[in-house]
Amino acid sequence: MTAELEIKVTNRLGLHARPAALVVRAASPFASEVFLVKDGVRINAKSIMGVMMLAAECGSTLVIRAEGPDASAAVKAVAQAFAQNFGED
Amino acid sequence: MRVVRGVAVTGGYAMGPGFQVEANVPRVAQSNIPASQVRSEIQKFNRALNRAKRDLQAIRKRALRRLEGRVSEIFDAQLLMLDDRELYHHVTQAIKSEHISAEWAYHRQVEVAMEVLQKSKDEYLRQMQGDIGAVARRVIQYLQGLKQRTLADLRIPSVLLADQLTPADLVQLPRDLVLAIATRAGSRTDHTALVARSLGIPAVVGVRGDLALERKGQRVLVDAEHGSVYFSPGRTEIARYVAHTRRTARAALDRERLADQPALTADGHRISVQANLELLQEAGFAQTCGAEGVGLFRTEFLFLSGERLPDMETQLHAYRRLAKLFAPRPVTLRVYDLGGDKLFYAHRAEDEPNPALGWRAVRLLLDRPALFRTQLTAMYRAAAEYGNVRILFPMISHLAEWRKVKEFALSVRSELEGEGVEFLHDVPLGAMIEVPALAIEADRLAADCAFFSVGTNDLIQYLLAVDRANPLVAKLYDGFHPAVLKTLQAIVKAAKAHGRPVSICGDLASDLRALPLLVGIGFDELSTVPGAIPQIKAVLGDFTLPEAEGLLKEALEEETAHGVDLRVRRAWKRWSRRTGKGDSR
Repeated sequence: MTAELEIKVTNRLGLHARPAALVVRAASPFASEVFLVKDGVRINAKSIMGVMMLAAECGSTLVIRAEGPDASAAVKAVAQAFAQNFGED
Repeated sequence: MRVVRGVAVTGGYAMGPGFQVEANVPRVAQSNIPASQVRSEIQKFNRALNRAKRDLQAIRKRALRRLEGRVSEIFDAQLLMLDDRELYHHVTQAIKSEHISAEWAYHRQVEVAMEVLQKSKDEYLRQMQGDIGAVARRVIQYLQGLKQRTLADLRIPSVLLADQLTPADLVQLPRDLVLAIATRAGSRTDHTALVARSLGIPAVVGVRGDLALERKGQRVLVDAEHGSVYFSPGRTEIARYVAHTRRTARAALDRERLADQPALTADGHRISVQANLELLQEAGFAQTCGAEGVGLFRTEFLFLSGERLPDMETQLHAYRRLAKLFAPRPVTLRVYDLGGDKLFYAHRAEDEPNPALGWRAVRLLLDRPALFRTQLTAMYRAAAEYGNVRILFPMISHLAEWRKVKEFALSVRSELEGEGVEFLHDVPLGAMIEVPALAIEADRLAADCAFFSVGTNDLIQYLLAVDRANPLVAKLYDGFHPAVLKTLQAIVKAAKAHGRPVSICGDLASDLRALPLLVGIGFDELSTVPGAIPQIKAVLGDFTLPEAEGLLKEALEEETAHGVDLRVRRAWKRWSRRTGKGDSR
């Protein structure tokens, strides 16, 4: 099963260390593989190094993609991590 | 004498023997291993990761005890780096397929990430390089069997000199052994500076020039007010340092002498003097100053960098600690006063033309129920253990809004009932009076509100229609304006009619001249910056309650702030002649 969702990084400061940790924690519990895709570059959302290196800046558009048995739940959780911690609570 | 300069990040002075912190930077070169060694090399890598992880977990735990939540989060990302499966996979793959040593494989992989971050336009991401570097160094030192830099040789209080100190270094060191730090790396906003500030260590970073000692134990003076580091300082520099130390010591003595004394007028009328706090770290200082509770804790300062709002657990931890520190004395937690001049809320859609009259405080919170709920949950729960927590709501502007806020708080409380967590049922809910409309409604409000706290800064600004940050009109901003005094009097009268305690926070409360007027008006509690508390206690005893009331009566007959001011001055002159102290204002 594959699930996908496009989101915008709304945090003024972009995606950096501490928020990156939140994304990794949200993605990690799922059996599915979870990726963030930006400008054709795909990284593993369970890897802090990967998420940081993606270095998404404010206003950029990302795709959250998950492949596996709990794909849609995983996408939802990661999107929520973005919404809760980057956007308005 | 030799002097080098850098960036002062904390303030303060310190002098003592210099201690050179050796960087112990591991050298990594490409090295190959025989195929037979692949398995043991991976095992070695696993062991190194585990040991580094144990270290960091211990450091994080220590940081949680010594620093507030936001600061200790620095170590969360570092721990996740050690758990990074992707990184692990790349390293072990390289060991298996290329037959290279673990340290070379790891080093190479980390370097790739560092290079990407180096190029980032985001300052925070560039700073992450320092954190990643620190973790990588730790792992590689274990892989090479090198000793971790524990600074174990540091035995006497010293000034630490280093190319770079990490947040972990600072957290691990006993505070009393570190007089000050001076480093070549670092900036005002990086994590090391953040931790130094949190721990109150005088620090000069980004030093251009040589930090090497000419001999062991050479005397070093760090001036973290101006960003200078003196090696073998001369007489002038030492004199300046001594004068500063003496001033600090004298202030400390005053604080100690008065700290345990109650605040009483000459005829024994008692006032509770409490502290306004922004950070947990200030709590200790406030206690040394003799604060009889926290009259105002500005919770919006809990998020240092404005990246995101602290979650429930982080807030609960902070509020609980504060409640515990001051129990059984009251701790007043004010819900976020975001917006307006406090632009910590990084996610604001756009700037408002007139933020002081705009979307802020409870107006914003009522529009963001999830945010509001999280904060109130933490407050209700934090109140459970010691029962000394009060919740204060800023910027209420009409009765209906107060009812809405209260209803919201009570709904959060009922949700908690179903969850089986500990919370206090009867947390006093109070309104901050800073909008004139609410001052006019004070009587009806008092019937439904557990306590009042008057925020004078905004109240005066709104009442007199003066922006005190605007130099063209700032002189019109005056707490002695008779209309201000009358408004304060009406608020206190309404509170007393309903038996509600009423406190005053804001700059007027720290203004010693205004003290007799505020006492005359009938405030039971003053909440001020901690440093002003000893002086308030010291001069409160110069006059009696009837004298303060008499002065207020006279003052209210005046038409101008200037007239009020003259009367107040005359009264102080009379009192100080009587006490023989000289004019203390």
